[in-house]
Amino acid sequence: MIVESFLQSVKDRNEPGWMNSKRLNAFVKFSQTGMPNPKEEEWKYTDVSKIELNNPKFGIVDIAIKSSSDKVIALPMKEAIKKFSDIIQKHFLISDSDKFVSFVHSFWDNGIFVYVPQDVDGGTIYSSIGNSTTPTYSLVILEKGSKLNLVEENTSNEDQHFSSNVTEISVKESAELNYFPYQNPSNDLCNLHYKRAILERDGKINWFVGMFGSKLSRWKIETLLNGENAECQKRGIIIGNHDQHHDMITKTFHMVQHTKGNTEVKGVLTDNSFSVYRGLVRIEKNAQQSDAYMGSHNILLGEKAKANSIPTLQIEANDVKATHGSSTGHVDEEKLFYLMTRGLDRNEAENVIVEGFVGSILNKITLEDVREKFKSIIIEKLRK
Amino acid sequence: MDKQPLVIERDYSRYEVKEPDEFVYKTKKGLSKEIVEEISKIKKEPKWMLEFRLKALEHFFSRSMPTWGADLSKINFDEITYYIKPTERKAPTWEDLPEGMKRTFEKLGIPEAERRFLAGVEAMYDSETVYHKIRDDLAKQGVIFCDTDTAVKEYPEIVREYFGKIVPPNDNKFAALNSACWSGGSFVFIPKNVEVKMPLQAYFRINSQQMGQFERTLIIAEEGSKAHYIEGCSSAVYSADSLHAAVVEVIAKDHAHFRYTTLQNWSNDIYNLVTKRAHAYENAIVEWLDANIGAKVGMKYPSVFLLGKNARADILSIAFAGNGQHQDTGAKAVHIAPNTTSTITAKSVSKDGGKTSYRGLVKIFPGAVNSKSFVRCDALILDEQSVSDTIPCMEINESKVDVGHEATVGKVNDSQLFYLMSRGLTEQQAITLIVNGFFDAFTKELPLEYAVEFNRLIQLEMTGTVG
Repeated sequence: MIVESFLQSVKDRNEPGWMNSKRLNAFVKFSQTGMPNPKEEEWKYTDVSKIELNNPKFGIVDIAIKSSSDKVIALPMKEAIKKFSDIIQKHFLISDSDKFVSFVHSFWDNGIFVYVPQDVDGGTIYSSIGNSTTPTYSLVILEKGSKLNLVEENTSNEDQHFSSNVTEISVKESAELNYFPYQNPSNDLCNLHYKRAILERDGKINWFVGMFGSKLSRWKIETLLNGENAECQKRGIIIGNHDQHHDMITKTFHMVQHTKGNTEVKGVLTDNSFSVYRGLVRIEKNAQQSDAYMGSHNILLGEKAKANSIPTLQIEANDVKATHGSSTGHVDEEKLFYLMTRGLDRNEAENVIVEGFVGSILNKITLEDVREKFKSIIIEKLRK
Repeated sequence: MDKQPLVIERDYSRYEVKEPDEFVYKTKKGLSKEIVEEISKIKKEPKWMLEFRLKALEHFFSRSMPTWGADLSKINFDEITYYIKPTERKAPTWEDLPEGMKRTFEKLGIPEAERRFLAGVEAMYDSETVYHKIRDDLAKQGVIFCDTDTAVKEYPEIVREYFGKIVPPNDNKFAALNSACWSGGSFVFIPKNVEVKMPLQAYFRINSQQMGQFERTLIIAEEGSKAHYIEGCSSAVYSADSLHAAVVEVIAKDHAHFRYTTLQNWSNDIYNLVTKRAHAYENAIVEWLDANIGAKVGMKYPSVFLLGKNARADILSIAFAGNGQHQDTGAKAVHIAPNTTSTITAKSVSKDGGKTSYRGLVKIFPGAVNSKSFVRCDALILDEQSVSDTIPCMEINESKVDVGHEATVGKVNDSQLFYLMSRGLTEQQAITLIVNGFFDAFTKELPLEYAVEFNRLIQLEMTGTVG
């Protein structure tokens, strides 16, 4: 991409000056950084070299937002950047950790902006992003003592593209966010997401993440527990079929004492699908009395299905509890046989077992319609 | 309770028998083609071995330092002496050793242990083996236990068939360094269906400062054989760092059962960068019992490649990191054949600012159906200054498998501590007891004499007073 056309595009956007300079800085980084290299640990199992970043064919992003409360501000980012520039500037923190983040940073065109004022119960917001190669940037702010359910569906607007997104979340003192991002476009697409939440004291976030669609998808989900008693629950479901490649990274940083983190990711892989789960729990030196659990479990249904997991603990404090568990295996033939003697065919029997396996996560989904949606996607994907 | 910090100092006095530098020859500092040629010439080696060394040296120079793991940036390869020959020839009896060496090994209790419960002993001092012996009845059964230099001369066919095949020189930078400079180490050959009931012991001692010890061990356990090899090590204490980079290759053929126990007790000025790997064939069992107490920095991940059906790997890795120490240890199990099993148990304790890292890999190849692997890591952090990482990696490329992993990191259980102290133990005694219990899985696998030695080592580590 030529510098002149980038500059022109920034100018055409008519955004506040500070955003122009953010975009320019990001573009410089973007131009100077190479594509992620498989030699870098985080990119070891995911090959993104085929994704064309330097000459992208931008398209249209569709944003739909439905809010149940008139006390919250929820609108497409494109409008928000003009109306709420000050708030956005204050919370726009993302730093360019790799070429994809700089790409989003430089070229984002739309996204979701949600602002829940102090002590407001924001109810439930349903949002949907119809993606294209044009990246999106979303910002979610929960002021002190506020509450919100945020559902985010990621679909696709085009047949062939890769989509990228950066989402920043700020959960202030005693606020609580239930966040349900999931992606389910067709298996021809690639998508890369980077979502990061920063929690203040007594803040709480519950992530319910669904990785269902796409040919290649990579979601990196980070939580910084910056205040005492901050708590993070991450629950993820990965379903792979055909030749799908899913790469999920979760990171939880315990920055101060008395923080709590719990991560549980379950994957079901059929056919030739592949998943890699990389988890990190880091407890900093002054984060004493923190409590962390990380679990990753996979069922391999397809004979050629593969699953890698790297659940890492970095513990710098001594008075803490940090544990992780991980398992990968196949469906027990005896269990299948038992179910089949009860009149189920093999596929149905497998589905029953899978339902029980992912059930421990599904049952924790606090919104019934999201739970049902996840369930129907899973059943659909595993149908032979 | 007003808790005061434990004042702990490592009592290494029993191992710190510093003898004046005794050597008959040493190369000049630094590493070059000439030095490697010189080592090979002194050893009067066959040409193929010199070529092997030089090729490895090229690889060592071309390969960059590992960017992961422990901090190795302070190693100055130019300040190290790569070969120090301590005696002109090997001693037929302990009595024949030069005084200083004899005193050292006696103080370490090696001759005593040989008399009491060992099937064979090999003692290495700086760069060369100075003593080796195997019981006559075992020698008559065809068991070979000698230093690898002797083996190159006396059993060239066997050595050539396996040497560098399990750990190729280009495996990693320090395997390349060892392949270029190797000297000493054990050669063990257990013939078909022979069981060696008592352990074979090797002891490695570094007496000089700023030296590199590069022992090279090759072990072949033929079909249906069974043996237990134990290695211990220690070093004189200096202010300048030394380097120990060993390569250990083990082949366990069908139905063989081989156990390899390490009690690593270097002084805190040694970089211990060791590559250990075993190939296990059908129905073979390979066990690594690996305890790392000493060294400044340790990077060691004993591994087993399960190449034959029903092969099994049991790896137990223990690490203890005190002030200024980083133990970056772990294990690897690579399942290539069907019905293979691996268990990895890792336990680590860090204190006084020490750091322990568990780094491990379980890899299952397509076709290794019905493989099972279970990994368990537990880390205790005894004080606020100390840290611990757990970095397991599981690559599962076959669906009909069962793989599990569990890890915990935390401090000594308060209720256990309270219980023991209510019974009249001091905090120091209580913690020592809990730590010893934590390592129980390891000590109960050791021969009694070693279990006592190990418990004493831990106690030494824990000696201190609660102020």
